[in-house]
Amino acid sequence: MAYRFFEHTADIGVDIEATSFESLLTEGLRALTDSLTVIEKVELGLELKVDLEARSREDLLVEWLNEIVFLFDTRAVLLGQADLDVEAKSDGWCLRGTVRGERYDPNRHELKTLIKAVTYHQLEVRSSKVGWTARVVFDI
Amino acid sequence: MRSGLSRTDIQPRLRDLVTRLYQNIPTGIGKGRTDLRLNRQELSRVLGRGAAWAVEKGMGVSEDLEYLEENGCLEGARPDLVSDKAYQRGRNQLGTLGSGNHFAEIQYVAEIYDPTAATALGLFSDQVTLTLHSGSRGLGHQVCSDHIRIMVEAAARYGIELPDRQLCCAPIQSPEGRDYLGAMSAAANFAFANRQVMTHWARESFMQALHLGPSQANLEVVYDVCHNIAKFETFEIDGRHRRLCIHRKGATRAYPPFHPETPERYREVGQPVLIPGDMGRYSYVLVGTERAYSETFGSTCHGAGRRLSRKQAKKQTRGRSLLDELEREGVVVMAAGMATVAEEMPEAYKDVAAVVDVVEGAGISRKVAQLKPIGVIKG
Repeated sequence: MAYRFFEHTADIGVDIEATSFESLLTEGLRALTDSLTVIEKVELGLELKVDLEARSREDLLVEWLNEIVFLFDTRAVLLGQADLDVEAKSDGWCLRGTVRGERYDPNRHELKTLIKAVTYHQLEVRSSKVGWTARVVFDI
Repeated sequence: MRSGLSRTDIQPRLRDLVTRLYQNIPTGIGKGRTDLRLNRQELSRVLGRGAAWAVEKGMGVSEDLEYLEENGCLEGARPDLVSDKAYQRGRNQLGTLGSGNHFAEIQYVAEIYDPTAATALGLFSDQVTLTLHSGSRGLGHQVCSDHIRIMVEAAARYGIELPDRQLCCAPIQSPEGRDYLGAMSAAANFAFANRQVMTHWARESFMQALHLGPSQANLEVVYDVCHNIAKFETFEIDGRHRRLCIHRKGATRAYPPFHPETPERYREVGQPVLIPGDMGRYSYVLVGTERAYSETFGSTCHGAGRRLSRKQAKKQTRGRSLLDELEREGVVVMAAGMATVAEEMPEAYKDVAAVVDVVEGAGISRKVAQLKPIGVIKG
């Protein structure tokens, strides 16, 4: 499981690799939080439930990461870990689970970059020998 | 904004002024001031009324509205089509600068290229000015994300092939197109109100830091232009007046002299165009031209543009003290995050002088004045 940022002139691009689709989503979350702050300093005492639906795996990745942006923007929650369950439905995909993190504290959390939105620009989700890979761009 | 002050008037209290701005205008993470919290009903009024909402609440004067593109309010805004999530994001973000390339900058007029136009714009040598760059914040981004989801599906339905899904679209007159324009106009109105609120707090900052009355600081709006927007404007095409949807993404409106929407005060010189450079070098004030009107649907450039990626910029600043470097150059910077300062360092941007020379050479705007930064706040 890993993520790696790639060069992008105005935005943040990230390549993600994981053994399962659920882990891919968790790694995406970690990449997003790593863009916002020093992820190692995010404690995991706060738990929130998530419940999302989307037409495709690609849409689900974008919906999921935009939900993380929304939670940070409206509740100042920084998230570092997730336990997720993704199920196929007749018309798409459903994600349910728990995310863990803590409230943003300006005295402890250095703010790196605020993320406006997660985009469909250059978006890719593929199954691979390892499991799953994805490419996603954060608008900042 | 132009002031009635010269650089020498504020230099002794420059640090206090930057500090006041930084205290009065929230930057960085979303949360706005506790004295400006909106319930859903009030936020809906903001989305419908734009900058006029802020003026009605005592944040600014009605004359300000004459100098905002579209008078600070897009017609056809549909606050009812803005999602609950967007309302939640906007509720505490009115009157906040944001992060990234958004800024408030105190400058002085370093050079005047066109004395007649400068006089019409109320600009004089060494005069203190202030530029604000901010937009519709999280609310606008949420409106965009909500509609991208709809547009990706709509594009397939209308048989539009997309080279990249972020470029999803639908015909303007389709239900999806009309709904998006209504929601986007509401977000634009939030942006107009956002800048109007910060304009008011910038005025208060000047008065507080310099111990001046309103008429002494005399901060007046020169102009407020958009650079990420689509809206309906009238152009003459093949001898006929046509109402067109003009999309300016990374472009600024640049209407010519005598255009009915150019404010009376500027009628003979053209609509002011504000082109920010970077926080170390300079920015420019231009005016629109006939040629822009006839060749580029009344549009010109909107800024310097990046030369380095954010990652490259951060790499190049390792081991450097950017704030000290800028201070040695005479620029006091206060920022919520040092990472943003690194990403936004002057060398990360192209030389905006070259950019404005190109648009002037192309005849789509004319240089009026150069502004040099002396105080900056950033997210």
